[in-house]
Amino acid sequence: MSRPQPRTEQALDLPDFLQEVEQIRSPSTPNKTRDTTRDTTRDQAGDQTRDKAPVKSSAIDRTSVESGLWVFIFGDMTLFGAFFTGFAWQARSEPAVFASSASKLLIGIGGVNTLVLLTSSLFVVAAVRAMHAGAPRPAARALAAALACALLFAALKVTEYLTEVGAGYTPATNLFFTFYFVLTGIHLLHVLIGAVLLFSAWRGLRAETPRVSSRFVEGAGIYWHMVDLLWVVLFPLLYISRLA
Amino acid sequence: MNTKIKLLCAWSGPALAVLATVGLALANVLPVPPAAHLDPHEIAQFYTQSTTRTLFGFALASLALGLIFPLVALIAVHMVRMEGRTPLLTFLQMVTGSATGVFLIVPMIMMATCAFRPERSPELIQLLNDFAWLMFITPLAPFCIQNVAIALAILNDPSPQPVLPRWVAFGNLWVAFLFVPSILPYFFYSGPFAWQGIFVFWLAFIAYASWAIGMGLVLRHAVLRDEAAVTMTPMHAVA
Amino acid sequence: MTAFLPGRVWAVWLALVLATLFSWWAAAGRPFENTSAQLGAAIVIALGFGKVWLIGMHFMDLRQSPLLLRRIFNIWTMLVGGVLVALVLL
Repeated sequence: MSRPQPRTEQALDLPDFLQEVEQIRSPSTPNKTRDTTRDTTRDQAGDQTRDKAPVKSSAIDRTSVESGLWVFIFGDMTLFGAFFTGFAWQARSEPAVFASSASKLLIGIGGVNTLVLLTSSLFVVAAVRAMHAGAPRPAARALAAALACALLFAALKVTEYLTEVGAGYTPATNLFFTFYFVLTGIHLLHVLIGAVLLFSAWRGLRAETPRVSSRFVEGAGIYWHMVDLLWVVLFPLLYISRLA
Repeated sequence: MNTKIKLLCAWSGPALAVLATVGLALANVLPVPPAAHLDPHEIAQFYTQSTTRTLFGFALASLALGLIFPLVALIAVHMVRMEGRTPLLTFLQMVTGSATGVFLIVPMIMMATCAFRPERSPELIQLLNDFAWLMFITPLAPFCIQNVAIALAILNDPSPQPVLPRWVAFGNLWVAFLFVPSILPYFFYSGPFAWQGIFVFWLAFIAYASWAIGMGLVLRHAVLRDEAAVTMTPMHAVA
Repeated sequence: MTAFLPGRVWAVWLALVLATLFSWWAAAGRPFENTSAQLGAAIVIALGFGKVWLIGMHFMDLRQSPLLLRRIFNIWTMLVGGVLVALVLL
């Protein structure tokens, strides 16, 4: 790698610097000094969706609109992959404890919650597709339905926690319950963050002229599907130990 | 000259990760930290079996962790260009970033205090050790807020040619999530979620080291790119 | 709003629901007790990763994404799914 030529005094003094900021801010004076040499293909792809109105065309590839988001999605999936593996590994060392503890879980709530999340994902798919079809109102309604599912999931999960703690099972009971509370707790944190994202998308799309970028709605949608996807593994993994 | 100082600040990220790792390894904290379930005599023995080496390790680690401050400053310089006239997130990043440095360096001093007087009563050493490790691992709020502030600034960058690429924002959000289990050592003496556990110490350690290295390299690239843009150097010079 | 959902997505959702009901029944009714509980657990976990794949391809729209994203997703699914099934079976 060869270093660029050291340049003469064009240093980052604060006054110059604020000028530069102002140039960036005002679209009428495009800043020609910055970034003329950069690869711009990705930026152009981003620019097309930067406007606030929903994109009318039904774009084929929705995943690469916000390609950086996948760093987070795959990263988080990797973290949970490590959690899952750690749980399954520990379950082998104390199979009896894990089996008897798992049988104390309320499988009815776990099962219903799985169906709730799958259905919420269906609503999110409907919302993104409606938005791309140029129908923000139905999209907003679908997001509201997904949000209701998210809140129902959280309410049922808290009910399950309270019942289990009431019956004397806490994270300190044994390693199974440690994993159970920590993994579902971190997942519940994801659900709550997802609910905030769905709420923001709903509010933006509900307005007379949509105030939210299609990129944001799609990103929130992909995040929500990940929340669904992680639970779909968490459910059999935690509740299944009773089979062994 | 300015570019050289900026590059120095960028390289302080990777340097932090490498030197702190060496220091903690010399202090025997790596690969297995003094566990929360050990009794006072085992804890005391951990700190006093090779006092000089242990103290040297903590001295090196405490110096290395100070390298976070130049990195925080360089992140701030880039964030203020994203935010313009009201650099709220920039200030938030600087405040929380400074706090993270303190929360990492002070535990090094406390662990060094454990090794400082080997004749001290084991119960007192255990008390200091508890305090040091809970402070080292659990204060995740400034870390997470710093990551989220960086991410929000990048995602709200209005420029068509962003100062930092958007994936850096999502990487920061991921790192914030990786720190979340670090609050759990309050509740466990043993197992994967105690402070020595794999999902706490090792996860947070790898996340923080990767973040420091990653941000350092990303900012180095941005600094070189900006200079190339000013001097109109061809692209291959910065690749 | 349901007008915006093509038949394919409905079919995927139905498959996910049926798979969930099967896992639920398997965990609650213990049909594998007389054969092999480990095999039953492995089947249910493998089924879970089948659901993961469906969600990724059809809900996250990875089936239309650049090859790299799809490849990483498939590797994650096979790797984590394979490790979990192996840990349950062996």
